[in-house]
Amino acid sequence: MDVMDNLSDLDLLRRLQTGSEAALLALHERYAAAVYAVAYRVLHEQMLAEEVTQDTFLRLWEHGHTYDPERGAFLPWLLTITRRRAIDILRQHQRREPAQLETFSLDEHPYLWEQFGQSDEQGELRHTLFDALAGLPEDQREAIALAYFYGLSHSEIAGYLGVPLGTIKTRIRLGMHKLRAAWFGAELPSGNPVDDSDA
Amino acid sequence: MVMMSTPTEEPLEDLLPAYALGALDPAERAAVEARLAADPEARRLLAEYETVAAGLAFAVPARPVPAGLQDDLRRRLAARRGETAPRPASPRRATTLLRLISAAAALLIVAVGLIVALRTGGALPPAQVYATLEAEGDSLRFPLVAGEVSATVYGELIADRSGRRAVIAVSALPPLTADQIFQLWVRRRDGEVRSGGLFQPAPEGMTYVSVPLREDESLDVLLSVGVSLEPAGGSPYADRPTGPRVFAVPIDRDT
Repeated sequence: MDVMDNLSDLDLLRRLQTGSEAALLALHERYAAAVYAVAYRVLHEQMLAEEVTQDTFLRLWEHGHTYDPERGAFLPWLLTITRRRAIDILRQHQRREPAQLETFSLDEHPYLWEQFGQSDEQGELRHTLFDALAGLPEDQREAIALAYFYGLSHSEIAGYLGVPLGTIKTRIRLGMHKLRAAWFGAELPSGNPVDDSDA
Repeated sequence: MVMMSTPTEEPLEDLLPAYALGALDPAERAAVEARLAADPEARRLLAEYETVAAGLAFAVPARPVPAGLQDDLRRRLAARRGETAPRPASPRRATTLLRLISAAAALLIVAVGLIVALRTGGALPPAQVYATLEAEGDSLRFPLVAGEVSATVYGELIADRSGRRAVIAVSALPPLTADQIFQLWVRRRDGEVRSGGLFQPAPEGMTYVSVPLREDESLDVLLSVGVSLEPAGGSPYADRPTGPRVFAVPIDRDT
């Protein structure tokens, strides 16, 4: 077993920042599948997803020092970079609006959280988040997915779905609030609308 | 303080979930950022929403990693160091064999090809362009990375120093069924992807495929070239494959 295999993400990042390619390759070995899965989920095209994967790790190589462990775990940070880069590519290809709507595919297995999200200290929270996501009304999950995976704005989602802008804003606000409540245990404010009829 | 309204008259708190998802229009985003600068409580709330948004990535279906990605990353790192790119792991022997075969064939092909070209006045077939570039000695070489269809595919892209002529030589392509075809894809650094045409494997030996560069193009503008396995007639889309990758050739000339 390579000595790098036993190092934590943070230790590998420290080594990476001193110019250790071995540390970068160890992180690639550890997380390329997660990065590729997110890139593929956005792009639905293998070659582009591969390019985004490699580009993400080369960005990590050059900008790994910008990661702040106090702001969260490493892998979610890396996957956020991946998703944003993939959406950039999606925009370059002028395929922002999905040809076929895909939200969170809650009937597919296995999920990334089962592979990467359960062993660290936030695993249980991710499990809770996933349950909360599954419990959202489909229209709220749909609006969140269109923003998250396709980079669509409020108004673009409204146009795509053919519903009023205010309805989309409400769906996203309510859905994200419930997810935040699941993660942080925050209480839902009283009087918050439970449907999206305030458009 | 977090409940103060933005210039859009919506409470700042209501816009933070969409901000964390990247779902605000530019004007809304700018307004939110202006408010965030002066509102530490809003920044704390936003951090929570951003944590939730980052966690959503874990609700993505897992996928197997395509073969060869780590070798590809090693090569890109080597290219950034300015070193000669290492060859893919197992194909080292294969690449040596490829070069031996190519060198042996080069003189014959060049001689025959030049005669054909002089007689016809037309463009040389890919095999002859390859042999010509091989004979030039200072050509650029980029190894291909096998995809998911077959791990044994090997070969390289060879180009002249200007990057204006490029040919792929590939061996051990998997056999096609009657309803399949290989399709070449060219990906530019500006994001454009276009088909480079359909082809079938040579009946025996190496298959040679020209990389279709436009008059104003050289390899400098390309990010990669790849081949996918498509249904007969090719991908229904002009800008993306639908089938699995057979191989790819990342172009690292200026990285």
